[in-house]
Amino acid sequence: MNALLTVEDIHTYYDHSHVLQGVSLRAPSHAVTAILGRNGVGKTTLIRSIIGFTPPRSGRIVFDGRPIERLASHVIARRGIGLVPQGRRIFPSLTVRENLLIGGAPQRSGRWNLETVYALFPRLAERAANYGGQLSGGEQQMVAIGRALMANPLLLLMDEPSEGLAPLIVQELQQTMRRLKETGLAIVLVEQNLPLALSVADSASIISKGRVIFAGDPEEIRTDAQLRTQHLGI
Amino acid sequence: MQFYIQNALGGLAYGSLLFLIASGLTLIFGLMRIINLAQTSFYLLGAYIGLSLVTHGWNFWLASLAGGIVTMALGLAVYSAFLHRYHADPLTSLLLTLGLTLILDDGILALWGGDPHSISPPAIFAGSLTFGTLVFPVYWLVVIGISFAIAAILFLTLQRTMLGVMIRAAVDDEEMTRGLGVDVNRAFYIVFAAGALIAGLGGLLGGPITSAYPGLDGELTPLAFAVVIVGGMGSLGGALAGSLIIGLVNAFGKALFPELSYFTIFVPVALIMAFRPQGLFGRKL
Repeated sequence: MNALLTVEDIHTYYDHSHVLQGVSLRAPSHAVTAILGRNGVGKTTLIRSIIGFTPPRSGRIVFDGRPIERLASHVIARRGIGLVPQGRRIFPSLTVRENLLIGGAPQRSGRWNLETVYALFPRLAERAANYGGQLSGGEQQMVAIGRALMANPLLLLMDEPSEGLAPLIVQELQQTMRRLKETGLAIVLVEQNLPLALSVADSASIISKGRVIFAGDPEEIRTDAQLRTQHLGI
Repeated sequence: MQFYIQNALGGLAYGSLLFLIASGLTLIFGLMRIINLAQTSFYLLGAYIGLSLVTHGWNFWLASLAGGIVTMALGLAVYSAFLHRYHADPLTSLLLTLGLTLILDDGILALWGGDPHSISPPAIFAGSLTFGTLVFPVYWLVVIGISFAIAAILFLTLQRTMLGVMIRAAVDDEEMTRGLGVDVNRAFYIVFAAGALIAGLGGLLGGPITSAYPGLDGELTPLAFAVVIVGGMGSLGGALAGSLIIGLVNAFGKALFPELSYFTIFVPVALIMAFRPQGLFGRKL
């Protein structure tokens, strides 16, 4: 299977702290790749390395056939990587509509625009004129996903999308991810909610202490109790 | 009554000039965390360039615009050569712009000499308006009108254009804005250039009110900072409100307590810092 995103042996630091110690990952198109692991093992750092917020000091990241590990974040995003960040990071001084419009800044053509995003999340059409700071957690998550889709990305990076959401909203999120996968989008999903991650993932990797200690079929994680207790704490 | 109207109009005119300086100061700080001490030197440089052009027979408005454009070019040169490396580094950028102020001040002294220059408004606005016993220069109203027009353009750009959306987003969360594919550096150049342009063209426009003399920039800087502190850093609406407040306090302070004139503008600053440290329109600190 041809990988859309290949991360090869990257090492990423925050100042002197060596967070990612040789992480590799393959994310094929049309599939959800889950990244699992306990708190503080480097999952968010991996996302930050891919989007260029915290570039790796060594190693390679190849996206859509070209290396991206030395590019500026805005150039990486324009190549077709959409980010749904941890904590959602909705712009409070922008309306819902403006939050979505700025997501379209890369001006890539495709199925997603204001209309189709409103069709996916009708609630956002009702809230279009509200400011980002006035939204509920679930609405913020819709804006974060819609904002990333507006760029018509090939790959969506989702960092803890279920964090802080009510169970009912998490179910909706699950359905949304399935629908997005059906459209052909590739998703790299960092998630603490194991049932959610395993229910949508086509493949999964477990990170522990800055290294990938498992990569394979999500089914194995479901059945291997030792893997779960040792590295996921469940 | 006449006393109050007279000083209110004078204060508003002076305040609207302050807005031309402080709007750039607050936007540049809000977006790139650069404290541009040279903003008032841009104003003074614009005044001298405009004045030289007027004495060579240029039209007042064209000379003012040209002063703004030359100042903008200089500001952009300094920004792209040095300053762009130090955004989000307030101390280094503060020292850099302080150095720029010193160089500009000495350059102005060398080129135009140390004598103060009074500047006349264009002939059609040179007169005074008289209402009963109330007499004030027509030009005050012109300055207020132009400053409000510039404020309106800035507001519309921020609120209604895609560039404005990008600038507001980057003020909220610069990293995330980059992560969405926005070239934030381009917005930095545009905002810095706009700040220098508006301060620079304000120089000749304000000349009939402030005149032009070495050291004027140093006198205006505390006022411009007072505006930004009162209004809230990064807020354009705050800069407008703060400018008018400081302009009025300054005018009435000078009229009522002349011996305390330079002190009175710091009363609103002290009150704001005690009771609302983020400023009238600033975001919570």
